[in-house]
Amino acid sequence: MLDRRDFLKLGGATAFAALFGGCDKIPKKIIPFVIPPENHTLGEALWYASECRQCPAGCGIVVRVSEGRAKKIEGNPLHPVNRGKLCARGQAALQSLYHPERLARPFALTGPRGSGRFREISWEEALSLLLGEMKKIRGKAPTPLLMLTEPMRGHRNLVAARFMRAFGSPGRVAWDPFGQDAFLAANEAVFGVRDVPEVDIARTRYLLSFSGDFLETWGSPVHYARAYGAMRQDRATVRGKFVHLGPRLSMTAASADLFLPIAPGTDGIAALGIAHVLVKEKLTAQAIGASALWNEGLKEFTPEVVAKKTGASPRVLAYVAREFAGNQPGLAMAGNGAAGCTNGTFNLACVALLNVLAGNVGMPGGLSFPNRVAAFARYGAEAGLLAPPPESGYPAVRGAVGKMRGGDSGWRSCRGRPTPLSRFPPR
Amino acid sequence: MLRPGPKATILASLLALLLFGAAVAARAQTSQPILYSHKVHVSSYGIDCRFCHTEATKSTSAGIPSVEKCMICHRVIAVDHPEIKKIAQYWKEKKPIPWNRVTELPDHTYFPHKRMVNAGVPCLTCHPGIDKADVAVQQRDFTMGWCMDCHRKRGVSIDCWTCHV
Repeated sequence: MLDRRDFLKLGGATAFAALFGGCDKIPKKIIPFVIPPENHTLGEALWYASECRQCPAGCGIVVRVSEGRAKKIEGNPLHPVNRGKLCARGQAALQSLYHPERLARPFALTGPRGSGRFREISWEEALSLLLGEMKKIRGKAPTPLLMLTEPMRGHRNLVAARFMRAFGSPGRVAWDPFGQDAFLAANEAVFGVRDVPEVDIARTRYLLSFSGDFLETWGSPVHYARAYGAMRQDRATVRGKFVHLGPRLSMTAASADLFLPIAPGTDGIAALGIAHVLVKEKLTAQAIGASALWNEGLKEFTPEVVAKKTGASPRVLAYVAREFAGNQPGLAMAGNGAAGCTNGTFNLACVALLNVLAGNVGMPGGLSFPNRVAAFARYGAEAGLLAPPPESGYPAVRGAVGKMRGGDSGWRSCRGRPTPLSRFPPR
Repeated sequence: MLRPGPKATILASLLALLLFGAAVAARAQTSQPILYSHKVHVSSYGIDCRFCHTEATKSTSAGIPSVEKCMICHRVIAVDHPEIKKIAQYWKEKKPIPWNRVTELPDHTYFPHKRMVNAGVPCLTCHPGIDKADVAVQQRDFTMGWCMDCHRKRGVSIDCWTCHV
């Protein structure tokens, strides 16, 4: 047992020795860069502008990069889509950047297809494998090379198109898991443009929405939500009216001044009911000239008939139609709820028709299609490649996958986030 | 229990002192992954401190040169030297050189290099003899009294918040 005297001696010796500081120095590492980033000052972050790809909206972002690592994502105040705002997915995009299961290296299959056995290979090996295979099939005509990507735009699309043209293969399929097949088909049918329109929510006076949660997740939600805020608050004497028709009291519907519950999949019919009132009572200039439409079948869709199919009150439908016509510019929008039904294209086309009858196409507060081909005119013959190419649509992609399974395609190159084989429903 | 005799106590104390002495000695000679010599680069070749420690005028930390910085010269200079071959290996693998930290201030102080350097204080004031050192060693103890001495002489701030933010 140590007695007090010895304890004090030992304690004193320890304290004295500790004065030398030999025991408080744990060797620390100081790690420099291999190649420092440009314009970099140690301890100061740099902000880089980029684009969020967590959904097809493509909001502009600025990313704070500190010592080579992305630390925070914020909306880019200068970007026309979101003007500095950003949704939760964009904020969470850092999580996908640093996800531990994110593939950072090429992998080669080591077992039979579907076994899930892979080994990591170097970029050199992967590229030489790819080149070898591509050289093999290049001689064959027609070249069985299929490029499967997400819908590409701008210069990326130009490069891809030029590559496929140089390779001598026309096989390109563009697929987006948030596919807007029905929407594109409907717009092509009604407006002759197979594209997603720009909707001027901020300057409209009457917003008629059909089953689309545009304030939550549909389309370009950050863009729409910002515009919606502008619609309500930017104009001194105009607050606008927002009417939502749909089967579900979503958060978007809850923001509406009037929520009209209708049976699922009957958005098109409800829209035709409103169109019927517009044309019958000659409420707008376009409605007056719509006699052909009337005779082709619009006259059948009386508010009473429509009420039976949708469950909405005929009196309210007629009232909404009159209010819509009387508060121009009005805007009709349909979204994912209407598009996701088996009659999705029909639903969306009928709602698009309302915009035609309201005469808001190409007008402020209405619907428009930015002429992107004209904007890229200086690229001459390749201007079309810079504008958004048509999404291939679900049938085209299924066909491509079917061909792959059947062994028709010699080789396929996939790019981007969608993985069709794993995400397709089994039917 | 038997009480340890006076001999045992003396022996134990001596052992403790020996161990701590060894630690002090070890601290004095921190080994580095590459035997970089400041003497060769600064004294023999006249390279300015700020050529490698670029952040000294811009940041709180003076910065350690990147592997790229070494390779600017050593792509062609002395490529057969075994230490240079080590750098080349790091460069080939694109891995940073894991230097062991030599000079350090405690965490409760705030010392921005840029303030001192931009005020015209020579590097050798705090890092004496580094230009003639084959192995980098922290020569000064950086006690508060020593810092305050110079601050008083130069008439700069001796306020607590200046360094103890």
